[in-house]
Amino acid sequence: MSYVQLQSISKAYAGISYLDSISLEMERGEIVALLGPSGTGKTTLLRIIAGLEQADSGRVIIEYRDITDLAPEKREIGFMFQGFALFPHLNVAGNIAFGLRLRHWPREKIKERVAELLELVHLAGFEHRAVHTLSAGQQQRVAFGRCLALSPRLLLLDEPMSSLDVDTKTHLLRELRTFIQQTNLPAMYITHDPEEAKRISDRVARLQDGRLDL
Amino acid sequence: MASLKRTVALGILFGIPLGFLTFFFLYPLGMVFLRSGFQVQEVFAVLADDYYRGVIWFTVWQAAVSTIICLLIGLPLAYVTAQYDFRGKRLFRTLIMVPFVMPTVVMAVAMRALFARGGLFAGWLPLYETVWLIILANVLYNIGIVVRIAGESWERLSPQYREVAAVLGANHWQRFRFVHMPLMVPALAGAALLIFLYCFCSFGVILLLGGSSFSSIEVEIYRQTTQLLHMDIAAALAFIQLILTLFAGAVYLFLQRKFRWQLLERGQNYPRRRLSGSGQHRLVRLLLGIIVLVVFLPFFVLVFRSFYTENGFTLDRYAALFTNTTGSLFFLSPFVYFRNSFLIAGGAALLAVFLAMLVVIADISFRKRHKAVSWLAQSVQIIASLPLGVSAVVLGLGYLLSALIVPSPLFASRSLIIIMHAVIGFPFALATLYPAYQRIEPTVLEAAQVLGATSWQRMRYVVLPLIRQALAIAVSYVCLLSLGEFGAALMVSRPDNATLTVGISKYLSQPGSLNFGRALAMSSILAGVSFTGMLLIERLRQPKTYQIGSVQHAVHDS
Ligand SMILES: Nc1ncnc2c1ncn2[C@@H]1O[C@H](COP(=O)(O)OP(=O)(O)O)[C@@H](O)[C@H]1O
Ligand SMILES: [Mg+2]
Repeated sequence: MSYVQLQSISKAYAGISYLDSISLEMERGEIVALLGPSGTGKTTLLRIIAGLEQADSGRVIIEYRDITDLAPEKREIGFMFQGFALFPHLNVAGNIAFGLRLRHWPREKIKERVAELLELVHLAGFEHRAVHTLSAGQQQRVAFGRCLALSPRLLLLDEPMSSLDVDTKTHLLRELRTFIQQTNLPAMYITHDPEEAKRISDRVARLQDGRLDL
Repeated sequence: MASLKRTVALGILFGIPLGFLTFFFLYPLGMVFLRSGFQVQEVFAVLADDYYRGVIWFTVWQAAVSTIICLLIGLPLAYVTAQYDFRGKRLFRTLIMVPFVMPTVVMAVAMRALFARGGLFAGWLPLYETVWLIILANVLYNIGIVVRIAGESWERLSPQYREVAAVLGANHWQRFRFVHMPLMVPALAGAALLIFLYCFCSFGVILLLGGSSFSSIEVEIYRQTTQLLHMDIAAALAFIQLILTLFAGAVYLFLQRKFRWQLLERGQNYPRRRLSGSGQHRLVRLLLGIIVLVVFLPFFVLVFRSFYTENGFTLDRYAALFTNTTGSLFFLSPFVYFRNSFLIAGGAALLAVFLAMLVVIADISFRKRHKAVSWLAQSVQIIASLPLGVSAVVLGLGYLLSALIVPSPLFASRSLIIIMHAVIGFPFALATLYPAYQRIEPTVLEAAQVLGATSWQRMRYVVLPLIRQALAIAVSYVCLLSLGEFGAALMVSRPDNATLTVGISKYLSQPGSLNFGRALAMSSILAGVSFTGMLLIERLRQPKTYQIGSVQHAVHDS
């Protein structure tokens, strides 16, 4: 049995079926790119896995546990939103420590963990920067650090490169791949760019007309 | 030659509004400053006097308490309407703003109809002639601001923030506490400051409900000017008030700078949360319904009592508007108040919109050619927005202080009040027309130009049709503002220019149920006109949805 299993997930909006009995298995440390044009339901699938959206049918199993009926805050999933959605009222350290604070980690341990993560994403020394002063690439790394803070079981990345310009993209793509590999977590990476999909992933899955081509 | 013509046109287009504002706003305001500036000792004397210190403290205190209560009650309402979709939401948002457009005089009469002797609540809620009645009136007035301003920017906020927090383990309360609240600080601060300033400069409510025991800075300026003829003390108080207003404005600007975030906005059709189950639905609607009833109650009672007398339902009170029972030579037929008010409102609206249009046209025709033009346009906008920070009573004081120089045929006539109301309405007219004009795609105008349209034809056949709605809104808005305006009109009122609000306050101050009855009837009519006007504006605000050439974005891409 695989580490991550999506079992026949279906979702329709207003009578239009976007996900039609999607099934997918992933192993630990595997990066799967989910490829498809805009509006095909890629984000919807990630939101269902994260619990932000309810599937019409189907199950989500992670680490051999069925989490289909769990609230999103209990799922322990790392989700990187398109556009990152960094909290503008918190600085870099505050963003990364958000989930740790909610769990009442002691101050010292939070500091350690934040430093460790900033090291990982090459942003050491940026703790106190306001997030809106960062470049898009740096914001991306903060968002990545934030979703790693709580040691999630699965990474979901929704078009992380879409707000970056072409020049920085190639470089950051390689970098992001290294970051993900270092975590040894399974990751699902959404993109509409076939080139990007091939580069980042171990395996490309194409979403079309509600079906997944593996 | 052409350039000379252009310079002349430019001079006219900017010169008229600039000259108007200079002569009818900056100059009288300057007179207030001069008066207090040359007599600094008067300002210090006022500050040293226990009585005036009490007045200043009371003004700040009642405004602060009213603001806090508004926030406490308004916040949950703003949250529910922002986060959930349910039927009747739009209606609720419209209705809760109704008191806000009601003239202060109408609110005062309504509160008296509820709480004064013989009022519906007089027996078991002894609020009359206490400070709590003033605060209650303030809260009813301003609660809508929280629901509207905070609620609508809350609604625009991208749900992604909440969702990120959820994925990171935040429960409902934590999402609210650690994400929504801090992100909403700028919007809430804006709403709070607006409410504070409204209550701080509140005149009609305190004058007419406070009796002789409560006096705010505004009321004190009025009394010192018209009853005691202490112009120096009035000018000193006006100076202190302006300083405090400026200070509040500076605090606001500081907060806006500090929290100048680029917030992600809710995508085009990102789904709003629905209330789950009909039980929740019904509960929310019941609660909101009760709120609306409470907010409307004073006005219901006002209209009810305007018809209901000892003899049951009659039109006596309305008929009394046309009879001179006092036999007084000085009896002014209430009809005169109506005529004055409507003439003034119409005049002020046309004048304000005309002046605002001049600025917009100047901007259209010359912006691209001269750097100086956009600089001029900006300075006109800045000067035009200054009346927002100056209370009507202070403006009135300025006119009185400069009365010697303003040509006397103008003084004490309706035109004087038309001009004052145009000054007060100008920033609103400009704020309505400018964005409407700026929404016009520049390429649309260029297309017209390529097709051979002169600048006049572009104006006539492209711009005007596209901003027709905004024009109608601006005219109606300034009309409403003028109809309900009390402080400025009272400061310079004479028998031949008294407006409806001034007339109502006169009847209120005279003894006898007949006079109170007249106040009830006139207030009901004024309330009806304001309510209708507000509905009209709300209708005009509904955006006509046509979209040309722009891409329909996918759901979650913000
Ligand atoms: N809550 C919703 N209600 C109605 N339609 C939705 C909702 N969420 C998404 N959709 C529709 O589902 C389609 C797929 O959306 P999405 O998953 O964001 O696509 P992608 O991420 O592949 O671009 C879109 O066309 C959108 O209109
Ligand atoms: Mg998407």
